[in-house]
Amino acid sequence: MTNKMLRIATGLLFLWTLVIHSSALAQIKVVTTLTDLQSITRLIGGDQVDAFAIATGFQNPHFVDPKPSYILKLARADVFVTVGLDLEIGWVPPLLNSARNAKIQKGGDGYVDTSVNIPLLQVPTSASREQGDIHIYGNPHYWLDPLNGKIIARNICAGLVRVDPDHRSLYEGNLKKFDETIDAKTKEWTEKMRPFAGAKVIAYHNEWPYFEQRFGLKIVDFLEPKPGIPPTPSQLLKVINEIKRDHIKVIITSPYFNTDSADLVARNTGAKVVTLATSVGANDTIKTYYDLFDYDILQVMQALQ
Amino acid sequence: MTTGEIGSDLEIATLTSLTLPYQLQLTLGKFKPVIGKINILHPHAFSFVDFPKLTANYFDSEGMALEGASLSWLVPNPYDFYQELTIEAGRVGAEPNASLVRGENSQLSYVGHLKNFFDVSQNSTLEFGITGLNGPNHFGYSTTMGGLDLTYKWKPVQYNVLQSFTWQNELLLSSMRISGAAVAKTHGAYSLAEYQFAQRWFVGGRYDYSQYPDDANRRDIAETALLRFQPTEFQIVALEFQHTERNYDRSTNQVILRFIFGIGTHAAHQY
Repeated sequence: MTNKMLRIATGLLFLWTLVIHSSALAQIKVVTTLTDLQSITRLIGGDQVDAFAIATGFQNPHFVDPKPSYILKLARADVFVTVGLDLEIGWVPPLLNSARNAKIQKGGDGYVDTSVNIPLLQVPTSASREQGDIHIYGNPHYWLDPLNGKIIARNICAGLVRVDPDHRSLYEGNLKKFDETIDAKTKEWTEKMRPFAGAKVIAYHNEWPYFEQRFGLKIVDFLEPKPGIPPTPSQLLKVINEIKRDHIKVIITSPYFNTDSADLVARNTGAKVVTLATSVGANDTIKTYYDLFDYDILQVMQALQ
Repeated sequence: MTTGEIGSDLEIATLTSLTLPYQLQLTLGKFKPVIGKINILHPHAFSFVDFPKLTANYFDSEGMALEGASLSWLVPNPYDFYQELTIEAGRVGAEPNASLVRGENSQLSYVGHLKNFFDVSQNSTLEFGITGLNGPNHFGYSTTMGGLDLTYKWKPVQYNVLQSFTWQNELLLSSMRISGAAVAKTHGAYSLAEYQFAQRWFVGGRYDYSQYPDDANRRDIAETALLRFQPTEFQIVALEFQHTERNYDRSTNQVILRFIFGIGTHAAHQY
């Protein structure tokens, strides 16, 4: 009797293991460059996807170290999701070149460039290194406009459908829900920001044009004299004079910049330094793409009041 | 001050497969074989002005190149860490090389390397590698070498452009047949540390011990201090002081200042 029960228990355990394994195997493995793309992938793919983000939410997305451990993730991925526009040019090419995975190479079914169809801002008409680290295809920080999030989601959905057409209805249903949520929330966020329309602010780096455009801010200058060039004394002096002249209240910076320069300008002008989140996971309270804007809008409102 | 020749040479030229099955990757052409950590670097990618004595004494001042094929494999393992096995075969490049030469009768040189990489934490990594090497030498016999490398890196992800620390070590053991009856058994090693204390500033120190592949009685010991400034991504200024003690010649003190200017686009370096 005991033996029989043992056999049944073993059989059940075996079946259970099979069930767990088959559901795990069925999951689509997605590697994204940024946590924002990971969050949107999870919202579109639901339990059907296992999404991993290479960069953390508090890391400068231009400068991520291409650690070999990421190559392992990419080697097994079904889908790779990238911001594109050369944002990740310093670290994605060495990782993809070593991934040994045809599916996720550019042109493969599993390669998703979320910049496709994004209405780009600041596309230069000419490019020279004299202008600093400029992006020749346009400013790549487009995920900071929630309505661009809808285009990102559509690109991710299309990629998931290409590699996993059996779950098309799940992905497309989730996309519809995502679009509706973003529309409703964007309405809320823009309403909250309406009293501050046209407010002038200073930013550390030129990564806010999409946010600025959507929520009616006016970024008048940067602490960096040119994109990617650290603040210089002459640039800080220029900014101090601009803040005093235009009564600017806020300096926006990001989690990965040293705040010494911003603090120095603040001390000399009385302006407030606000560290905004550039990505999901910038702090523990920002767990989804929706939380990112909830957090940033609240920070900006509090600083401008 | 040194004077030298002015010229140009093709350092590497390769074709690399992106889509071989079984997590394999094939590189064909002229490439720098995976002998430890330093040999694969181009001089501008190395923190110090000069390569360690080990590299200079056993190969060439800038390492060595092979013309042939390199096959690497991501080894599946139960612990799920990054393990890469590389097997390379080819002719040694035309440049002089103390350990290996272009063999007559199409004799090839072979290099094998096993790289093991671990994420110790979000901010730090550990890499351990084993190298094996065999090929014809200029005495008409062959040289066999074995090597170990160990690298620890700390780079806080939030401020990875502002601060970092690297500790890197290599040991190379060589067995070189120099006549029908004689085999030279020699070794070399280095240990270096580099600390980035600001976005554009680095300090470093290195200790080198190296014999010569054909003579265990000759050895160099060098101590090096480095200060490096990178005003932009396209410029590097490095100031190095090096004291070298030789048991076969007089000791020297050197101060080297190097400027590097990058022109045009440059592919990203490996981690």
